[in-house]
Amino acid sequence: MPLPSPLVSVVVTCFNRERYLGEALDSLLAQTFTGHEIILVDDGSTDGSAAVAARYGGRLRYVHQENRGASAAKNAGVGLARGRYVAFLDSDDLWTPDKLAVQLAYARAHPEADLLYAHGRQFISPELPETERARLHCPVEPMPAPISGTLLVEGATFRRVGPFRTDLKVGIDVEWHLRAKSLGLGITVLPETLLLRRVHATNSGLTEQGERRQHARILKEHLDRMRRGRAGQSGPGG
Amino acid sequence: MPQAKRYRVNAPQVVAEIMGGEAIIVNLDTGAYFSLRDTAAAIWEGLERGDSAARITAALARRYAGEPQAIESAVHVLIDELLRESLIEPDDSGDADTRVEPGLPEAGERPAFTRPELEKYTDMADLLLLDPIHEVDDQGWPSANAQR
Repeated sequence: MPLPSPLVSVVVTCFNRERYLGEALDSLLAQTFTGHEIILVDDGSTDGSAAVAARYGGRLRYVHQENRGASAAKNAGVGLARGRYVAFLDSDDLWTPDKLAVQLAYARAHPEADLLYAHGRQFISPELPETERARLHCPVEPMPAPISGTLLVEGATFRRVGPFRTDLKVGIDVEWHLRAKSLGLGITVLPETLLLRRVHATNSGLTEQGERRQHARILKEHLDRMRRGRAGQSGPGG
Repeated sequence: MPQAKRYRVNAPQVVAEIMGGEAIIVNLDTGAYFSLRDTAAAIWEGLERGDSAARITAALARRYAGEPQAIESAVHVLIDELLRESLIEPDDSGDADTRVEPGLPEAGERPAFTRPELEKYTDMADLLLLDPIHEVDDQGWPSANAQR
């Protein structure tokens, strides 16, 4: 007998995160709303990530693919989603137990909200030695987090915006968000803190300047789109 | 502001790129981003090269039709704004830039000098503040791809 369709498909993407993956998955299984499926896309991990996933047995759908990057992994997960809504969690981050419940309640009451985000709070991964912790920048206050880790969106709306860009290494969420914005979709950032973002040694932003320049390119595309939109509005015939 | 002073981009928290004649500058510390077009982009290009205000002014005076004093003052106003937004900082590491080549105006009809403008946007601050620390990774994504 086919399984009933879940309301939400949560796409978890993972590349060599055996250390954190279990905690991320536990935070999904601890959700107070339980009508969700978990799709774990392992993007070619060579560490023990697959073994961690195996511990969860039938509680998640595990897909292994050749390493193609975070965007490709998320897109692959969306392709497998059976739920009306899709959501995303990076394998080093955590959701609060009420993440889905809060957002689904809001979505039911506000059908005009196409993209639902929330606040996020950052935390320094507890295993880090004191010297490393001192080096990391980690604001303690919750921040508005319009990023994929807090996003709840109907699959049909996600497809309207299109997949995450696989040619980018930084600014992937920024670029996707800007595309959604340019379509005039209703965007809401809920005041609740629903995502806990892990700050650890390997994501401290010590990136190549060349890669960071991708932000400038994404924002240039955004400004060009906005200017074209304004020119269209003020053109002949209104 | 001494005329021969050089400046440098306030890296790594500020990233900039010139595309299609427009300079887009992102301050990853504040999440604000900026657009410089036309004369403003030309001034930014000069600053990135390490040119002094005097040298930039001279280059603009060759390229555009305008009062040299008005051009000079506009260059200083923009540099002040860029400093205020922490996009550039004085570069005292090397010699002052004393090269000034007034030269002849470019041949043909020169476009009129327009006041350089720094356009500031803050609509993406939330995302930009959260973005840089997360998606790039020395061991996991995406450097693994970059090594392929």
